[in-house]
Amino acid sequence: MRYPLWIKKSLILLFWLVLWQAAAAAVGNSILLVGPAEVIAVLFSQAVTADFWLTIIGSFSKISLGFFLAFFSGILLGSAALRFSLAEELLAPLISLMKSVPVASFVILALIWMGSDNLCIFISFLVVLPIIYVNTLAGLRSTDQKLLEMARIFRIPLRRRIRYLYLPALLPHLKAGCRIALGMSWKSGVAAEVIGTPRWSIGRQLYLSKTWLDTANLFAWTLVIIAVSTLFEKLFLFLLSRIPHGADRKETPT
Amino acid sequence: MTVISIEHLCKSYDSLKVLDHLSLEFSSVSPCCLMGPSGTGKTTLLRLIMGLEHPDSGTIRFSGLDRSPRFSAVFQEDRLCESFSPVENIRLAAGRLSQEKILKELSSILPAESLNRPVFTLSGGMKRRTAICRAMVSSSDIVIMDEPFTGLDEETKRQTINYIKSRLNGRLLLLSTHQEEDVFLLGGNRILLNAAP
Repeated sequence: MRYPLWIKKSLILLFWLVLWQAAAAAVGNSILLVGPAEVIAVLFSQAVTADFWLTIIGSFSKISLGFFLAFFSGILLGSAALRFSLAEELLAPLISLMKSVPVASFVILALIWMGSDNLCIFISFLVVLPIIYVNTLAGLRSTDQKLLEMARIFRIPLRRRIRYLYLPALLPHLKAGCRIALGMSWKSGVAAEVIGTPRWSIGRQLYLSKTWLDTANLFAWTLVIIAVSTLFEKLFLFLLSRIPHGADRKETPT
Repeated sequence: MTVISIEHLCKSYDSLKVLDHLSLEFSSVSPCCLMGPSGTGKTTLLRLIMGLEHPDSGTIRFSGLDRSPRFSAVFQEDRLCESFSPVENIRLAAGRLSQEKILKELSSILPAESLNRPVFTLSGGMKRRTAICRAMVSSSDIVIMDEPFTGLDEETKRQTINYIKSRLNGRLLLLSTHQEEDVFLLGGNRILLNAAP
């Protein structure tokens, strides 16, 4: 007998929740492991307070600001690197540095430079920038060179070249990069908040959970991070897919 | 009258000499048909004239124009956006043309039912004719065609050549071909390229 997909997925989720609850009951120590029922109860008790939402807004605004700054900078720098080989050569060591230096090293350095309040903006920016830059460059480089030659001969204006030739090549690379970068921005941003503990931040809540050995609170805020970052990722990728470009048959040259 | 004057043109790829001190003149008086075995530099010469490549030495001069020449071209490959229809491909290259004008032009050499289908669903011959139509309707001083009739049957080729002749409007047409018949049908000059020594 075949079940609809949503029933199958719900049953799988239920199986793991029951297993989690059973494990928590078996351990019998809420510092070591709390069950999903307790986590949900803590989450609901927090959700009715204004501080809960202010904390989410605080983290979301800063981490997404870092992401957006890196997103647009990465596209600009990637485009510049495609056009000017000197720009690519100049940026190469910087991008390699950003990719290889551990986030913790940057966090400590940034704490000294700028304090804790805007730390997660900077860290989120640093983690996302090389991903977007590399994917932008790869996407633009994958543009069909023969079509670009055709565009040059027929003197197709730059605006049309971007929309109908470059964008169809760039967008798949950019989407793939964003899928990784969106998750990374949240992971690194919250990690920076845990170290910097700025006011109205999810990282501070995680830090306080550690201080008070409040595992239920830790799990509850982790669920919040997963939910907010997933929503942000879905929304952003949806908006990215709505950008009109030449590969879309509904979009014709005008 | 548009004239292209080529003097002592040389072009090599690594150690392979493709053009060696080539001197030629093409004019818009009649279509110029480059002929010669494969590897004699026909495509290279056309690309050099369009400025897509730079010569090692020698000069290419354009006269009879009060500005730098504008080209339209049929490349060796069709170079069409595969997800676009023939109409959309032409609108992309010749943005100032109206929808009606594009449809009228394409209808001269393509079946009506193919005009709004994505190019990837068309036959090789239909794609070729779309590329030819694009070159002819785009505003230009010089029309370059690199083996434009590849994949066309005899009857379609004759229709297409008649279409090209009717849309030339005094422009210089320079094309490469392997068929003597094409030169005859176009009423053009046959220019033979020999392999560089």
